[in-house]
Parts: sequence; C-alpha cells; structure tokens
Amino acid sequence: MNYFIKRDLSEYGPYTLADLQKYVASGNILLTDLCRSEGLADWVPVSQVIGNIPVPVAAPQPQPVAGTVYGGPSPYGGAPAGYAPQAVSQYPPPPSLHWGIALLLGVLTCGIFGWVWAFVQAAWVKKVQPESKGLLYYGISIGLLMLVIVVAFSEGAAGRAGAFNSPIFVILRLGGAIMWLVAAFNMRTSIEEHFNSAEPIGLSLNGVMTFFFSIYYFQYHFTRINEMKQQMMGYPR
Amino acid sequence: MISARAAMNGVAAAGLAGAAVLYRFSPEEYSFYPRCPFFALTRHYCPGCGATRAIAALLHGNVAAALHFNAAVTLLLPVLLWYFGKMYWTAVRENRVEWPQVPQWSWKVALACVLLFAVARDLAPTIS
Repeated sequence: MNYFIKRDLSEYGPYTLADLQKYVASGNILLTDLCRSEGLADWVPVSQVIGNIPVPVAAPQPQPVAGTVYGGPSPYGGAPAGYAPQAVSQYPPPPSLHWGIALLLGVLTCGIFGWVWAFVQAAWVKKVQPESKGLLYYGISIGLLMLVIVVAFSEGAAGRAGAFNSPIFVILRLGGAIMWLVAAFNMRTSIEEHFNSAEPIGLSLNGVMTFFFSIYYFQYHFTRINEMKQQMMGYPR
Repeated sequence: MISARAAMNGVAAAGLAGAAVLYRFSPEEYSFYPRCPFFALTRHYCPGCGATRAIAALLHGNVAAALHFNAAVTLLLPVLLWYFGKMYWTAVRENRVEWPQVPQWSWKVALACVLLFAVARDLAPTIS
C-alpha cells in the first residue's frame, strides 16, 4: 500500500511503507504531517498511521541548520521523492541570490558582476564536484577578455582606435568567448552530475540556454532548487 | 574561515573607500577606473555605461549631471543601497549572509526599464 503526505497546502508521495518509515526516521516527514492511504479520502496525522510501525532509528527532529534534508515531489522530471539525509548534509546549498537580481546587477555593472558571479558559482561547483574545471576555464576566459580590454583602451588612448579590429584582437576576443563557452558547458556537466548523483533531483540543463545565458541560466536553477528546499522542509535561506 | 560579519564589514569598507576615491578623483579627469568590457568588446553602450561618472556626480550633489551620465543607475541607486544595506544589517546582527527577498514584480519591472533605457540610449545617443 502507498501513502500520501500533506503539509500545509502541498501534497507529496506516493510513498511506500518503507519510504514512510525512512523519512520519519530521518525527520523529512514529521509525525504531525497529515497522511492518507492510497484509495482513501481521509487525512490523519502521520503519528496515527505510523503508530504501530517500528521506526528503524531514533527519529531526530529537523534542526534549523544548514544541511537539513528535504523531500517530496520535485519540479525536475524523474526525481526521486526525497534525498538521503547523509548525502545532502555534506553539501553547501548553491549560491542563493535570485537569478533576476543577478541579471539586473549584471546589466547595471557592464557585465562585471556577471564575471564575479561566474567565479562564485564555479567555486561552489568546485566544492561539490571537486573534479570540475569551471573555475580554471572561467579564469582563462576572463583573463583573455581582460587583456583585450586593457589593450583596447591603451590603443584608444594612443589614438589608434582602428587597431580594435586587428586580427590579434579578433583572435583574443574569439579565444575568450570560446573559453567562456567551454567553462559554461563544463559547469553544466558538473552541475548535472551533482544533481543526479549526490543530490538526485533529476536536473537536466538545456544546451541552448547554457550557450546563451550560462551563469544566469544556472542561477535560475539554483534559485528554484533553493526555493524547493525551503518549501519542502523549511530549509534555511 | 572568515565570518559573515567580517566579510560584510570588509565589503562595506571597500565600498566606502571606493566612494571616497570617486569623490576625490573624478572619472572625467582620471583614467585609472575600470572600463566597460561590453563597450570594449562591442563598441556599443551597455545599460551600466556612465554609472561611475553618475555616482561621482551624485557624491558631489549634482543630480542633474548624474541623470545625464546614466539615468537608470541614478534612479535605481536608492533601491540598490537599501538592498545591500539590508544585507549588511543582517550580517552584522546575525552573522550570516542573506540575499534579501524582493517581490517578483520589482526586479522584473526594474530589469525591463533598464533594458529599454539601454536600447533607447544606443539608438538615440542624445538620451542620457
């Protein structure tokens, strides 16, 4: 028999009896949450349903600290219903700035905030996926673009603005842009790996969106993941 | 590991130092300020172009000049100061970094206005 869980206005499940035991034991599901059996309409407290079910370990209550587990249905396709607590607690949450604010700050700072935020995202990915090369590739990309900018303005100051379109400038700009894309797609791979193994929510990142919007697209998903955590289990911001 | 409070105090101190430099050394006279990467790479103005000069003008109390250099940044600056001020206050009081939550509509309206401003300025350079 399967069970559904209701907290506030949200419903989660179905869960098997074993799932229910596991999530009560881990604190994902509280004894005060409402529960109903599949095929029945009445909601009763989980404590009534699970009263005669032995809980495998002493059930710790969720603590208001970073790393609280979260469960329930995921907006991402094919996601399992909940996280293994020991897996989630090992990882820091993704950067929590709302993607819209990140985009606004990016456009207001001539894109410089976007460069800084790329490093913030890459540093987080490096923490959760140590083999990621995003930080290195972003560094190379921004290094090349900085070189173009410095030379462009020194040439401009020297009255040789036409040099901006010289082959060396084009190559440097192209190199910087290519490295940026290499970094973005490396980040995409690492983020997908993380959210399909260590924190399995079935995340899939679109290649076209990664190509055009990279950091802001990643931040969009980080925002949703953080919101999901907060909604599911009162995950701290 | 540096605490959130110390980190935000460092950021605030850097901000104040930056404002002092902007106040003392006008971006119109000194060329050591960072240049717009978007302009360097594309030769088109981005929404943030002129922001440094606008803030310098504001520091001297010249609102009209600030609006001329970059109206979008000038008008949004109070909101941004409130946003980061709130973030700083949370860090100082509770020793944690929290990006303040804002209503969904607010950033959408701000972003739309900024992008419209950028397009209009690029198409008609007489617009500040």
